[in-house]
Amino acid sequence: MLAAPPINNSKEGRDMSIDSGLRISHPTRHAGIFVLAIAVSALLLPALSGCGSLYLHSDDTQQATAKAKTELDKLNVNALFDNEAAYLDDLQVREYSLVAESLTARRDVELLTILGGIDSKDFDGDGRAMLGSYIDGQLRGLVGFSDRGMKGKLTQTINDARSKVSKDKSLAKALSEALVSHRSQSDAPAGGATLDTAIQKVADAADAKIKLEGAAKERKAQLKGELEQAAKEFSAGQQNREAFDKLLGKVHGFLEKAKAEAKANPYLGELVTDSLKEHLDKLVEVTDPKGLDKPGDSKARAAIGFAQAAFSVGDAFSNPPRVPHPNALAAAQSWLRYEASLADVSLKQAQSQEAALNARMQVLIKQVHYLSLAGQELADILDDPPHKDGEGFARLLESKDRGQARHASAALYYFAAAWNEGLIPAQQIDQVSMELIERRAKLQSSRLSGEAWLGALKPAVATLAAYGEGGLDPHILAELLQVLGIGAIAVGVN
Amino acid sequence: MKVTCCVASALLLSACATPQPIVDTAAKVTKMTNDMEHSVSNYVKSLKTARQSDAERLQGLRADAETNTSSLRQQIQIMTLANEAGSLKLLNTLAVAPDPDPLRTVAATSKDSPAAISFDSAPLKAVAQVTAEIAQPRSVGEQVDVLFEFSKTVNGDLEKAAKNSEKPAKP
Repeated sequence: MLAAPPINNSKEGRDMSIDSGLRISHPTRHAGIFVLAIAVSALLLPALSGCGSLYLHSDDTQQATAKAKTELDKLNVNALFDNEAAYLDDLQVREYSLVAESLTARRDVELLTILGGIDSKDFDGDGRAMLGSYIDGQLRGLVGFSDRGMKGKLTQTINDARSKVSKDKSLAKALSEALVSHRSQSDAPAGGATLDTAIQKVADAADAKIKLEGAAKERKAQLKGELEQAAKEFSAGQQNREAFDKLLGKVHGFLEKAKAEAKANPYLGELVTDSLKEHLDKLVEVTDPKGLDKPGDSKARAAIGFAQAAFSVGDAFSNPPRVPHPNALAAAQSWLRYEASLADVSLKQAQSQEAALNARMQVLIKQVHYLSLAGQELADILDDPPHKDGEGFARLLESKDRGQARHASAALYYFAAAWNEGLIPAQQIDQVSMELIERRAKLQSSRLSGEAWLGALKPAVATLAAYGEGGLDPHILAELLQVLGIGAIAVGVN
Repeated sequence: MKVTCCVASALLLSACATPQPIVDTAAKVTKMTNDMEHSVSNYVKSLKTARQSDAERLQGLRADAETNTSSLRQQIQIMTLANEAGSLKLLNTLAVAPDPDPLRTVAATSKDSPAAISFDSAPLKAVAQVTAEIAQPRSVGEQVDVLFEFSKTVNGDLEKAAKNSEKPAKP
């Protein structure tokens, strides 16, 4: 064991090293370099010559990199997205409410007009004719004709269509066929009205979904097969640079093709991420390059190939094989999560839009159904003696004839229900929901982008912080010099 | 001897230089943080524009609603004056409130309106500033400075140790 070295503590020695300021004066500067050069090189020469990454620790760098890490940890991007999510919820509530407020006022004006009546100069007929004209007006907008006075009723057509719904036949398809049949039997004008368009949109969305899902399933099987074949050939064949480059080319091609297709087909997006994840997980297991010399190393090399093709990290054929740094893998995994979540967002947006289209069709069907029922109830009291022109419906409701009063009440109730359960929610979905679905999907994508930015930045900043913390520590070096007796030499040079 | 010193000094100076992978990483981080800051700021700007346009649309909807409700109020007042209580009573029975959320997309709990949108980009700017400094390769002068700082600390430690060893041993 070495004894602690004697330290020369002469005045010259002390003056040589440090003046009162932070800087060392020039005459002593050269001496400082010389002293340390000799001392440190004696200790570190072998290490320095063999290792380019050995460096001197700097407190300033450590503080700066630690600060960068702390600042990045402070960053709260999610607060921004949470605020926007809450804003969109609030906006939806306010817009729904205003649309409903406006339409309920219009509904009530119509109801009061029907109930109270209007000036006889402005209208020929009583409250029944007024209600009838409102029913006809709404039905013409919805299906292009009113079923009042027709033998075939729209309620029956809707019920028939509902009874034909099966695994192979959606309500949209069944109703579309039923409306065609209804029109042909009653000489009603061809489609193209609001409900027809709504049905067509639902049917188109459903068809597109079936096609995209089918295409995705087929491509998944095909691409997975191609990829597995490429990896298998690599594993079984010569594991040389040429074979590896061939694999890389295939993986690159696969990723590019699948990603391009996933843009047009959200159902295919999962495939890209699933395949990458599978190989990345394998890669995370094999972070030790020595693992490549063990049996099954070809799989590990193939996994590195994936990481190299996807993220430009790692190289299975460098010597020794360059396995990606854990921080690079963390960034890659963050990217993967981002890709996987984006595919999920596209899928959910498509599903939400489909659900909204379907909900809109359902409420329009309800509107048609209630209007048709209102028309049928009205028909039962149309033959009763007429009232004065412009006289309101309230008089009918006050009738001592219970049958007449009941039909009149039902007609009015169904007409109001057509507004409440049909027209108003359909307008809310039209004017508010569709746009908000798109904005929510964009928000979700932005949130994922924010997470991906941080997911890529944090490992990189952690790498810098680790660098700042590391390096050759001057205090440790001083202890070493003392232990080895070099302290005396250093001080005694001057 | 001189050659040895020169080689040793060069080696030491190279140990004071920031390693290239660190310079590269710092440069990438600087670019990414600047890009992110730019991207998030633009996003916030676009959100503010969208909210402005929402406010205008809401104003339009409010005006529509006001026109329709005003017309309804007038009709109700006229019918009240005309003593048509029966019709008004019937209206109350028929005029049910519509579903506030036909697609059930928002939780039923009432929430306060969210605060105005803002983003504090100071942390990103701070990260970019630090990493931009690291990304600049050190000049020879700066490397010498680092080396002197290092040597100063080493010498300081050595001096302290020397002083401590001079102190008379306690009896």
